[in-house]
Amino acid sequence: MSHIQAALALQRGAFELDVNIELTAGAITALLGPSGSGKSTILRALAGLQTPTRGNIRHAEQTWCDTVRRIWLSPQRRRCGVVFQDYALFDHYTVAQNIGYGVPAAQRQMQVNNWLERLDLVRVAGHYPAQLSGGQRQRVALGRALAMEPQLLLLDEPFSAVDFALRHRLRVELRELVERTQFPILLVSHDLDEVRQLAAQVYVLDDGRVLQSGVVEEVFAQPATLRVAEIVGWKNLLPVKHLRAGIAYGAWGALAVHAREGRGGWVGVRPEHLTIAAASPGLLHATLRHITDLGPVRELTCVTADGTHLYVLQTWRFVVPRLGETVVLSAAPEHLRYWQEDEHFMIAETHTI
Amino acid sequence: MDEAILAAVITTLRLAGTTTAILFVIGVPLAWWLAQHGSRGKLAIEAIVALPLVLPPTVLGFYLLIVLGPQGPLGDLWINWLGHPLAFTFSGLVIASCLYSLPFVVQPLQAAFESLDRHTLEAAWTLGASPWRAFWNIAVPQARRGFLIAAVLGFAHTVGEFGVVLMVGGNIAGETQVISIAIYEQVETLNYQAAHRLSAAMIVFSFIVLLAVYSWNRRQAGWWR
Repeated sequence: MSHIQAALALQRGAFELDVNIELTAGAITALLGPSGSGKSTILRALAGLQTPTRGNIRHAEQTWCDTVRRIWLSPQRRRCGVVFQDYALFDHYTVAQNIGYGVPAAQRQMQVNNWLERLDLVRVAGHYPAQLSGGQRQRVALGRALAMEPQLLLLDEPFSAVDFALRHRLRVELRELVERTQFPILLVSHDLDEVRQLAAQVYVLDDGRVLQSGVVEEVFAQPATLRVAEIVGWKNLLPVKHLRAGIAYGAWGALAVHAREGRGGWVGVRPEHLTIAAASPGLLHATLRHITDLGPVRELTCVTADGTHLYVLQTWRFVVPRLGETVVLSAAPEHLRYWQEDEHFMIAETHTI
Repeated sequence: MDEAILAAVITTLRLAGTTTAILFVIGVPLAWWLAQHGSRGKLAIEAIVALPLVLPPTVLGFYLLIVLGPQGPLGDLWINWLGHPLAFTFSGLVIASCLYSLPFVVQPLQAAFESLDRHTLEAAWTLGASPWRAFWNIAVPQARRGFLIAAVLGFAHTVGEFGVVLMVGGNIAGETQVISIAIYEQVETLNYQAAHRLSAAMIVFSFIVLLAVYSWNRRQAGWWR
């Protein structure tokens, strides 16, 4: 089983990157973060397209990069399959020629046929990229990276250029394709659904640093800091003035949490864990303002007396109160996270509700 | 068409062909370097490459005459090496033409290289292609229109040069007399009929070449679409 370990530091102008990343074979590891957080830089450094200022990259027993020992393996010798965001297909080559580009001549015919078949591209083998649909182009890029039998597969926002309907199907295809691979896969993304659907491990990045890493479900369910919560889609983040007897109080109202006593801080809850009920006794009152159709679910936007917006996801079976009606919001304490003031010192300034 | 005129036509085509070939050997790596690097030295080299565009041909011709002449550094070297001088020879003319037409080859190539999709080159490298292989089968096909424009402009500009040729090549029939000089000579000797024939032939030739190139270029533009 191959395995990648990378410690990378890089400085470019005001941007500073300093991360430790570990990728295991046979699983997708995601780098999740806003644009400018350093995701693509890490991907490029792993591929050998960018030199880190300091650091090292090890693949199994092989050293790809070590700035102390002055080791630098060129991209040609790393055998990293890269699927670029814009696919970077060779426009003057056919689909078959694109897929075969990185394969030694002796195995080319066999490998190309194999991947044309697996990616359902046999019918368009002789077409040029400009004649293909978005989904086909994406598959050609994937096939080209996989046909060379990579030691590491790097996916840079691979689904951002295809439309929504196709995205879901391509993700399922990708997951099936990589299920039995013997190499690590890195997925760079800022799409939460994509990370949840595809990745097993996740690194949450912001401003060149890893804020939290681990199993996707755990990181998404238990963000360590307010900033991580923000990045992994906790849309409801409320400032807490004080916490007394298991109740967190803010200008927006109050919510029961697991912690007993505490100073000021923040409390967060995912939209799917917030429940809504018609006006009744409760701690958190709000007015139902909007209903947004998100396909399988609806998102209800509620506004509290102090102007705080709260988002609730509900299935279609749920009977929604009328717009403008006063509702009571609540959440099971186990789904609420409370961060004390000093736990989120690094992000307090950037956060606004 | 008398022999002198035929000789001038042949000299012109030989000169333009040789110059274009040499300029490709020099211009492709130079344009690639200019397109890939952003150092301060780049600006100076870009300015030097563009100099022939703004200088009067006589200025270039004058200094070339000095450098290529028997007392000049390059002329002296040439005499020691090959036993004959450079000025007023075909070789001297080729050197002069290369300098004179340099920007016409380098600039279209540089523009083509600068507009390459960088990701496609990087993709080729990660797929194991050496920089050399990636250049030939990824960069060159993408830049092919730049190559075509560079070749046509380099060739046509050399065919059309006059001042520099006059300064360093003189007017030796069969050796350095090109069409533009031959026309000038016919006019000087008031032989307007010959001048007419040559000038008209030049116009027709140039038009046909450009027309052929443009139509080829147009078909090329979309051959894989």
